[in-house]
Amino acid sequence: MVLDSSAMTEEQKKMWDQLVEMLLYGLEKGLWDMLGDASFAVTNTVGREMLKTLEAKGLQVEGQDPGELASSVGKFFVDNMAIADEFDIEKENSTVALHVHNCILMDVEKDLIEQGVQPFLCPFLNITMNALRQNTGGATTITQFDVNPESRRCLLRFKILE
Amino acid sequence: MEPVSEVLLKGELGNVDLPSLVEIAASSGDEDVAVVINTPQQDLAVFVSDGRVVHAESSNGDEGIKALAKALAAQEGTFRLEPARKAPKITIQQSWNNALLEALRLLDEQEAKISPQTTSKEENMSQGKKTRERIADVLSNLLEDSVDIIGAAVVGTDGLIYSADFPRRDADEALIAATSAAVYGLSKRTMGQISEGDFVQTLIEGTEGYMLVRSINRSVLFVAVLPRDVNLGMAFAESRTVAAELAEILKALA
Repeated sequence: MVLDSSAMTEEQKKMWDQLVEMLLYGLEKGLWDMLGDASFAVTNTVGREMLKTLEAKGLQVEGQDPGELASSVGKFFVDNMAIADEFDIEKENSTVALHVHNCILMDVEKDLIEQGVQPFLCPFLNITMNALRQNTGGATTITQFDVNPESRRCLLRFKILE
Repeated sequence: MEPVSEVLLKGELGNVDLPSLVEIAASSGDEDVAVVINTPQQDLAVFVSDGRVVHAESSNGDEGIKALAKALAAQEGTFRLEPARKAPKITIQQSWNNALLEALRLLDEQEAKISPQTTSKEENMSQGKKTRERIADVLSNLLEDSVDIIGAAVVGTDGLIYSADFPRRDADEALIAATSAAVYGLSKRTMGQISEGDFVQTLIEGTEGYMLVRSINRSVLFVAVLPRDVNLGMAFAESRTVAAELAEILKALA
């Protein structure tokens, strides 16, 4: 998809953002209504395609260390794409947690949570999950995905299974 | 043993083994079939009901797995398959594969006299295995022993692959895991809508075979690939047994 946002007026950019949010909300709500918890199954397949696209744009996920893999993804989104203000990594034994602050999708996530939907389409979640599965041998699962609209912070915790 | 007038099949032992006779009995279309074996030492009967072995007995008074082991070991004598002969009791509740394995283990113990030290060492090694390796072992044993299941996987409802072994080597396991989870999600939602209880399993029929998705626990699924000529009753029973076994192993991850 190629969109020349520089040719847009501020009003058009705002409408474009609203359209993307609306599509994301509709897609997640629709899938959740059909599949429930199993909606998380798409995280890996969506992440796989997103990772391919972003690798072509310079994202490098190398090695097997879960902390470094999650850090590569977080750094790319914050430094290169500016979709969040900052991120932190917390690693303990077989788990790695990604704390994300002020993600641009926070308002969509907030609306979904209010409707009883556990968000599952999140660039940090989908790509980190896929990178971990791809590089650590496949056995990674998400054990925590908290979205706090008040502090505008998200916590994503992954576990590498033995 | 009570006499019957009709016989589905009869012959000499040595030309055919017990597993083949049970397979014939299970797929005969008769609800209850007895596989009767007469040897110089004793008479034996293995009862098949709804495609499952449910009871075995011998004229020496043995029942269950012990009698099944004797029937398995019988090498000379005659056999006959008697239809419409109901088991007098249920002494075998596990799947045919598990019953067979247990009977073989019993024979091994009797014949080879395995030392307790060796058994203990093997048990410790098994316990020391990682959960995913134990799951892989269960699937490997299942595929080795079963004629009704030709491919299998254990996947999470989030698409995580714990272990997979499909007949097609180029299968996209990640995609199969994701679609299995989607099948589970849709089926579970549908069960909720029609108020017929919780999800247990879904069977998908194709022109060349079947795919079965069965719940192991709230977040993990057992996926099986079945051939076109499968005995569905046997496949369901085997899936039920293996799912229970996997549930025990997965408790370690809870």
